[in-house]
Amino acid sequence: MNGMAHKLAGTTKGPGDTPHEFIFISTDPENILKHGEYVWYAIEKNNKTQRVIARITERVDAHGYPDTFLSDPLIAPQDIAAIMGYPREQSTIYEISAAIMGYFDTDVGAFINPWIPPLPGSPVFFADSAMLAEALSRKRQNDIGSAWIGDLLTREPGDAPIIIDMTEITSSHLAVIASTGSGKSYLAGVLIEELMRPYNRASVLIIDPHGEYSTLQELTDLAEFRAAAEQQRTAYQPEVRIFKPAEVKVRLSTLEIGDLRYLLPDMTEKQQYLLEKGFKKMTADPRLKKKWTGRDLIQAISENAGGENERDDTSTVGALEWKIEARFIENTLTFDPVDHLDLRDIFKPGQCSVLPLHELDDRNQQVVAATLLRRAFRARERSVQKKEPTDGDQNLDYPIFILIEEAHHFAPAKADVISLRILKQILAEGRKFGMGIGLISQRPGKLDADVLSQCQTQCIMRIVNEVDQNAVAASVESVGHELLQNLPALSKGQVIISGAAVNTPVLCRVRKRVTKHGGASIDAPMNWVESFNARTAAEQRRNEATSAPPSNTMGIYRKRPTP
Amino acid sequence: MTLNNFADAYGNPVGVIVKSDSHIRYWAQIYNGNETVLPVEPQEYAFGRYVRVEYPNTAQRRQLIGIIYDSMLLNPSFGSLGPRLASDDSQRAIFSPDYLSERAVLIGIIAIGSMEYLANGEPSPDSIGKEQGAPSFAAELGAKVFPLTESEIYAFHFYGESSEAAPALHIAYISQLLSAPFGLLPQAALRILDQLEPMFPNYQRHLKIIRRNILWKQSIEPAR
Repeated sequence: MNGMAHKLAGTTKGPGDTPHEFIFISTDPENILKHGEYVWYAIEKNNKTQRVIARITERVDAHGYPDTFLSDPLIAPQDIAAIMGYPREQSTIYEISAAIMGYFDTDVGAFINPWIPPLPGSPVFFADSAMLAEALSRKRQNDIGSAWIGDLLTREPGDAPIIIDMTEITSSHLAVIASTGSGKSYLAGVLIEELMRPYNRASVLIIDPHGEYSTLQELTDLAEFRAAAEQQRTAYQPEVRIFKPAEVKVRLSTLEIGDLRYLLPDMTEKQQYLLEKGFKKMTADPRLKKKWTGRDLIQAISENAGGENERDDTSTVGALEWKIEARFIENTLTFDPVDHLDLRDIFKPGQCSVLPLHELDDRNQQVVAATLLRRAFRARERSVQKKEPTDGDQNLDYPIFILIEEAHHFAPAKADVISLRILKQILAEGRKFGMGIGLISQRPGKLDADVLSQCQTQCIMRIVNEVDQNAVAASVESVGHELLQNLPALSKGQVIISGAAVNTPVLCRVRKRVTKHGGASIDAPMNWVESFNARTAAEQRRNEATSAPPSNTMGIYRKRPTP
Repeated sequence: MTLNNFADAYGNPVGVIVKSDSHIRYWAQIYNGNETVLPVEPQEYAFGRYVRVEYPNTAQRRQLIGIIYDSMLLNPSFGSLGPRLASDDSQRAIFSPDYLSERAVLIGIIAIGSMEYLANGEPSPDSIGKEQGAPSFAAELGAKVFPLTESEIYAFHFYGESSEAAPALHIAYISQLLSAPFGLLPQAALRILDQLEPMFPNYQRHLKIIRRNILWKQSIEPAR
């Protein structure tokens, strides 16, 4: 213990309802013992004094007034109590329940539960911000692999910064779950800013179905980053590459038969059979050198269908060909025989790439994501296993992190979507290959439960919908029931961070973004008013120009007097 | 001026302490016509009235303050059913005067504090001489009981906590009336509110709430 006087919070009354809870009594004159606030008590462990940190879970007024004292809004109950001889300054005594988190063992790097509540009558102290900042966060600010997400909610901004461990997030994945308008894209922006800081220089891809991450471009020219880089004596500026929708192309040969089946829905058994047969034949054809076109596929199918046993296939083949043509030949926006996104263009240390998918239809979005995830996963797999690429794609020699917006769209709960399988594989095996996934969703209830539970770090913001709350409670083990009860009460920009990247679940206020926020909703009434005013002004100008007499500035025509 | 006649000098006594049940519960006998020049009027010892009881042997000008919360009629010949010489009090005054003098009205007083008086007989204005709740000293047998005047009641209740504090209403003894196991005390509490309400117009809302609280406990809660 240092020589500083610790702030007393109260006196222990005794154990609480559960073995890891205790109750203490306080008059709390400064009103600081809020719900979610931290206190500590001392225990002796191996001849060392350890501070056991506990979080306040409940606060009950132990000396409540009778209801009749509260019956006149003009009269404070304290006044009546004072008349009746109860000293005004002692009018409230709180019985406060606290959940024991444990003392922080720096060797283990985790909280150790001592399994012993404080003795009745022993003092309970208010945990100061410096102590909390040290105990709650894994990393220190500006460390390699640190990310300053925000501050402890119960403290003043800047008092107790919450620093999460990027190493964990990029290997054991992240889920950001929140209702619309609770600030999840804002938080994602903060995360990206942290990933792109000089001490992280991550290789990040954002799969952005709404095209709301374009403001990240500002990252390339931030004085703050430049100064930090100069301090470290390196010239570092993060790159932000926002791909144009036209650049988002999928090379046809990277599609697998599963992708084809998904892209050509409602096929009959026979069509599926013919497609598979044709696909096999085509991919085995050495002349095509793994670069086939839609026409090659149609040709392979019709050649196959011409066999002796398949004389009546004309109409089936015709329908299949028509489907292939519509998807792969006419729709040249997404699929291309040769061009596709170069993995090394997308993934570079110190580069944040944004892949806007808002011009694609749902299925194409899912296939674009699936093919890209598959290629990236294989590239990382080969690099780690030190294998040469065989499919004409490149290897990636550094870990990568992929942030997926609207994740329920790529990994839905009750639908078989092509991107789900590869996502599951990456979430399960990505740790081995240095491939991290960040899922962002406002509908955890619609998100595949396995996928959600694979994300070891969770940032949970306000959720009001009960189905979604239950989905979170079911798949997020690290957050206690008591903390999840706060979900509907969280304000915008308040987040519960839990799991691998923090030492204990923590309520955090998201910090201010350095770059502008792009995901804000449109102010419709403002736009209407502006648009209306512009139109009326134009009309007025037109009227004035044509017929309005100069005296009539209001644009209202006087009735011509009748003769 | 001795303490005894100090008390006499400021108002007429209504009776004397004759018995106590505890440190705070006393019985006083009301003077009958033979003991005082002016007969004691029933409203002077009405239920719920504030009284003061002199402390004959203390050096300070301190008086015990109490409330009349009960009364009892004493009749020594109750149960003697034999024939009598006289049938009404005018005849009894002639034929059996001892019978009349043995009849008595007793009043129950609950002590709610004590108050110091200044040399001029006025109650002390600040908190120093005021004590609300069980008084430090018990009353003595034979001590005279006086009804409290309005200005005395006001002074007993309205004072500043300290010399700096603004004066405020204090009824710290009221919970004592409400928590005692004796059934008539809450009724007495309501009676004292009747007296205090017109005296403290600034506190009418507060007193109303206290009254409501007592009424609820008295009339509604038992019915639930």
